[in-house]
Amino acid sequence: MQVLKSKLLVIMLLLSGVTYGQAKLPSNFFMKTLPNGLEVLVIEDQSVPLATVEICVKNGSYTETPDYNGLSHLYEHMFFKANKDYPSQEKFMDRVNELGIVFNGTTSNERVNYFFTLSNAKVQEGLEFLNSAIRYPLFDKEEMKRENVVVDGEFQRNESNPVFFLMDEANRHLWKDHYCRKNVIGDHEVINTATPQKMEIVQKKYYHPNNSILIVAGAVDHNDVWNRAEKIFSSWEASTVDAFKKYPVPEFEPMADNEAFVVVNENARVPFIEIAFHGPDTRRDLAATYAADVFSTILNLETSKLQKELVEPGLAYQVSLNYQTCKYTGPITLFVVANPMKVKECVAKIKENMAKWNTDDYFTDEEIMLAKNSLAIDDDYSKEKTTNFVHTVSYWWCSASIDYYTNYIDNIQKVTRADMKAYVNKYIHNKPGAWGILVSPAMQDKMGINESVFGF
Amino acid sequence: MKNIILSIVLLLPLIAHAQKNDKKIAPSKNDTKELKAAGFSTIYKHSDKNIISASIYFRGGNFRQNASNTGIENLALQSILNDGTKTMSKDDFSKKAELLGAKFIASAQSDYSSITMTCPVSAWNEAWVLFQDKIMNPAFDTENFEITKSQILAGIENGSSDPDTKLSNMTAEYVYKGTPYQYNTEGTKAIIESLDAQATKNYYSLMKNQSKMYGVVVGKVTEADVMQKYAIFAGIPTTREAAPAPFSKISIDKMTISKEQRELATNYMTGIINAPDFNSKEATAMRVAFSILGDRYFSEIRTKRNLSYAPAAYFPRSNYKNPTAMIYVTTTDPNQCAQVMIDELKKIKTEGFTEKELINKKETFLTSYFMRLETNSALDNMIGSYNTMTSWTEAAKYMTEVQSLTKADLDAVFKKYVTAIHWIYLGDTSKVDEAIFLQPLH
Repeated sequence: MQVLKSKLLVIMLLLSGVTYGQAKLPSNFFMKTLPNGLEVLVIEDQSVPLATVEICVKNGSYTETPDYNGLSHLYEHMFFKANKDYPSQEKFMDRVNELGIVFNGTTSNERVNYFFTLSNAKVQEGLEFLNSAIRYPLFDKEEMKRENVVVDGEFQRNESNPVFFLMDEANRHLWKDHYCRKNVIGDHEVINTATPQKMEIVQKKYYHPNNSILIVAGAVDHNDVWNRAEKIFSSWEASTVDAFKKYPVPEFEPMADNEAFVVVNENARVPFIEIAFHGPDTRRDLAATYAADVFSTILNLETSKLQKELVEPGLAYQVSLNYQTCKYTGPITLFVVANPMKVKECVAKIKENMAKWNTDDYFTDEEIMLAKNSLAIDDDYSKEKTTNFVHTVSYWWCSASIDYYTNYIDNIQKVTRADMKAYVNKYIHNKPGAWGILVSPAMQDKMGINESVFGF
Repeated sequence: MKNIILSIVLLLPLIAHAQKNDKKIAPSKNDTKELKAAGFSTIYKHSDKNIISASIYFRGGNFRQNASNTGIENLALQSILNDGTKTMSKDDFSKKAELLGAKFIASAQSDYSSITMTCPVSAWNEAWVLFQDKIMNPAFDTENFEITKSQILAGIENGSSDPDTKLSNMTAEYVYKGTPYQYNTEGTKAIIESLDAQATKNYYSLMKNQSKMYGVVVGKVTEADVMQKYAIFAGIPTTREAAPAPFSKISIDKMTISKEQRELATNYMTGIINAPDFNSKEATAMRVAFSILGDRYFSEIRTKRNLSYAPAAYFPRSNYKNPTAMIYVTTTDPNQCAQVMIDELKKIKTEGFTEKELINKKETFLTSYFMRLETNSALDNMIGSYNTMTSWTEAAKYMTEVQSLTKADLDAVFKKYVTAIHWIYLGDTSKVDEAIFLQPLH
């Protein structure tokens, strides 16, 4: 029940009939596609006697028009409420407790996922419970009326942190008319007036086996899970319509000019700077997504030029560059916690560095090697906790492909200096972006901060 | 992609219980043990996972610090983390760590502190050289120290803008006033500004007292290897440290509220309640009781009344020498929330829990428990914190104690300790009706 703004993996094996896709998968991954299109991935890990059962749907803010903004997330909440077999949330929660389930769900730009972790001896019960919730929600009117307020309460918690407003404003500048497609938390009015009918429309568009993946991870046997999944989910009727063809996600228009903005919030205590650009995506420029990850990792190394020129002289307390892999225009974001006494010098140094990002001597061969190594080791770390790793895999399924993930480290190793230079030239260097700063009223008065701080 | 970016047998009978259908799972071995590496106390657990976790723990925390320097322990550890050593420059150290995939974390808690390194099994020997060098030969370079200090100061400033951090700081300040727990482990702006590299280095010398230190290692390493490697810490002298001054424990015996005005989209409130000592058997019962209370709040506050997204109740593992339990909510209707929370406490005190609640909660605890065992660093932390709190051997008994609890145990501990609440409130204070918040629990 959280809104996630992270990135994450797919398999486009929409073959007819039952398909076994073991090629190129890690040795503990076992993939099968049911006749109705539901992909079933089993990840075996015998280290603790648990199983995590996750269903993941290609849904999220990228599917939302303004009048539905926030409803993928509200739908996610309704999953945990009344359904045909458990006709109230109380009954639903009773079953959660009986099975000793630790559960949650998340909504992000391009994914909604629901997951239960329980004893591996109760996989059957977990799958049946998941089946009831994903296929037969009731969208009870009274429950929904109450849940609208709860979801709005989650929104209000976000709004209680001043950094939220900086990120939100940056999104408005970046995505313009299609802001809602990147605004996962949604719109207060839309959330508060949502109806069961709107939930049914979301369900009819996206909640189909051939738009979903079932992942079962933990101390399980893949043949056993496949058999159980087939018996339980085969009767789930496939959609004859491809929602992404019928309701296409619009392309984000490139920004025409740089746009600067100042967010003033009385609860801000330290100035935050966010500079964001439209980046590559996995449909149109796959190679650049790898270059983006290596480049970001280089700049985030403690020893990078960016860190040394901003953090060591005391211009900034923290600097990080991120690229979020998406199927539809992933954002590139530079986030800086600035020294309030040196904001202007900090901005000047950021710009000075950014101007050199496409030059041959901005980073060394050693840094390229360290960054690639770091990404490979981070992947090893991510596999240590299977109950979390399953979410990583489902993210990639939604925003790229399972192949993208399983070949990720190999492709990272192939990234060259020229690839990164091309990436910077195409997406960052002299490209229009959203340049924002968060300050308190006192900071603004004292330092005379306005939009011109960014020099345009 | 990066963005997303105890056994002692702890569990033998439980694994057997949960696992009867799966022959593939190797039975957990009774392999957590305390070693004396040339005399240095080190707790070792073998694990086949690919990441090794190795730590040094320092007992003391807030009890070694005082009103004028609390925060110095965290500053010392973060300075060590963000610097090189006497033998390696910051940059060389950082590059070597990146190359090996060695990650360092330092944590300053109110009762103890720790430095932990995780690394892939393949890098263990080389990464160990970095780890022991950090502990034994930190540089405390003046320039690097000032960078760390400024980052901590910014963190303190920023933390005050985050409502949850602020609520936590208010709890320390208002509830734990007069005890070592009244100070935030990060310190205050004034204290951190007053500290220099030399003073911090001197403080770290005090921390390096063998009698107050121990190691923990969880991973695919041999006992002999651990014995050989940790022996280097046996060279750290044992020094006589003055015993911490005794303090009067706080006890929440009357309904109280401490509030601060802040314009927020929603209001943040927490209630602090007495709790049993960690060393007592009641502690496990209290932990389970408050987890069930959390479920009831979810049902009564969120599901039935849609008053909040985030109601909670729990018994945190902190402030070991004077623990308290907590209830928590964020809401635009604080009075109604307070009333529902109080009503539920009264109801449980009168009627007790149900057998079904306890049976179900045991199952959920088992799931959560195994989830914590998934990473070696989590195991390291569990063993290390238990060893400060009571003894590492107690970690092994925890799930057995949970499984043996009865409804009578829960009812008794709830009645005994849930006697009053100290409310902490951040938000629109005009919305608070003290007559509701301060009504007695009986």
